[in-house]
Amino acid sequence: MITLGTTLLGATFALLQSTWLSGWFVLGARPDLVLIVLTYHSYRTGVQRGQISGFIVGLVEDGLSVSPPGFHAVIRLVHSAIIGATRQSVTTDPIVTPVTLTAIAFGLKTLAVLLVGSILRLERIAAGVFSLATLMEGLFTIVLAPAGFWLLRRIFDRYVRGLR
Amino acid sequence: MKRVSWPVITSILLVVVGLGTASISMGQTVFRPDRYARSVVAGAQRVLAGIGRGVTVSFQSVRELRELRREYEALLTELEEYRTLEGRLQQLESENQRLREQLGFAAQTTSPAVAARVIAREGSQYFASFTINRGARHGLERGQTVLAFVEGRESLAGRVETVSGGTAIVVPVFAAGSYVAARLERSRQEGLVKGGGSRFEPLLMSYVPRGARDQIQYQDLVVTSGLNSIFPPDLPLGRVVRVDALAFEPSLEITIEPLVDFSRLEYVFVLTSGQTVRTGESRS
Repeated sequence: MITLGTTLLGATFALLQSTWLSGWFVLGARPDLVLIVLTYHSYRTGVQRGQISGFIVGLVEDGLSVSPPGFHAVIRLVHSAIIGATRQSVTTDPIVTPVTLTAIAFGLKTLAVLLVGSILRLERIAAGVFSLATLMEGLFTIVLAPAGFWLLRRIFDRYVRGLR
Repeated sequence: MKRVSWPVITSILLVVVGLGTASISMGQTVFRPDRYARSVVAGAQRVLAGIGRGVTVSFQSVRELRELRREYEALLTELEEYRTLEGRLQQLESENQRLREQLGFAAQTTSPAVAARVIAREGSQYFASFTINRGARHGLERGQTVLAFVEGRESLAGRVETVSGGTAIVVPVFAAGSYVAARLERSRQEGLVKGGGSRFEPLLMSYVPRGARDQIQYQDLVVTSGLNSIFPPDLPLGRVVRVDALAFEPSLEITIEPLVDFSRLEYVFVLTSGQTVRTGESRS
């Protein structure tokens, strides 16, 4: 149930990033809010749930984008699955944990973009990856990660308490 | 017997499904499940865009009312001036018509166009696109030209890439893979304009001979040439902001600022027929 909830939350953020937040740019970039949601979910629930959520949210992103369907799905799956492997093996700190995990997830996402882009022969992808916009996007996402994790932890904890 | 690792199996299965779907959609298959999925997602996108617009409009209305009052006073004064100009304009129009007929050119025609509102923009920074609230139901097809209205005349905004029932995804001229056959309106030099990949990056025009350097000026208008048969000719694209003659290149590299401000683009027009806009076909 929590996976379904997170998937819906991630999909909602993907929709918001393409509508309400589509004009919010700083130095040509904006934070990847979907990545924060998926990273937290994978960190809390593990590989299996994380990757399924990532895959579905990625498919929604593909539906909103001109990208080939499956492109974002595989990328979201990759970073969610690997972050899911850190479940219960990383000490919880309100600042260091979100920053570290989000930085790793963003790095994995960038690598996956390059890899999937070359598999699908999307030659223009590399130029987008090696750009200032990618760096700024990463920085904004990492800066927002502690606040995002704090908010998501409250939502998760409330849900878990509700189950007891 | 070794225990089956479900996460690994799921990972492999999902990667295969993802890459398989992407490969199918990039090929020439008839069955395209992504189109049906896009129709579903586009519905949610339209609802969100509608709510967002409603909230924004409410806040803007109060401010606009004040501005409107001030503008009303100024417009009354301008109206008097325009009344005088109107008479002069009618004279010029009839004179223009006569000259056209003498030159043997058909009157400029405007092809059927569908007005559409921009409801969403690309969320990923690796691709460039925007979604409009018109689709196959309104006669839109892949490859159609999309125009924006800038400074009182139409300007090239992009081309329709994907069409679902009620929405369509448009690839703008600034997209990394976008190429437009263009020419400089004043000097008539031709070249190829390619997108910079981001709405914050200028367009780049290549293959203009080095010899044309002296004929190109700052703020020269660049229009479509119609040579690649994708876009109709003579659609304004942007203005020259810089000309570089690199020592190792046989042609000039011209930096162009697009006329369309894609950050504020709200409405577009999609040409639903072929290249009949602004054509100058001779009467034979």
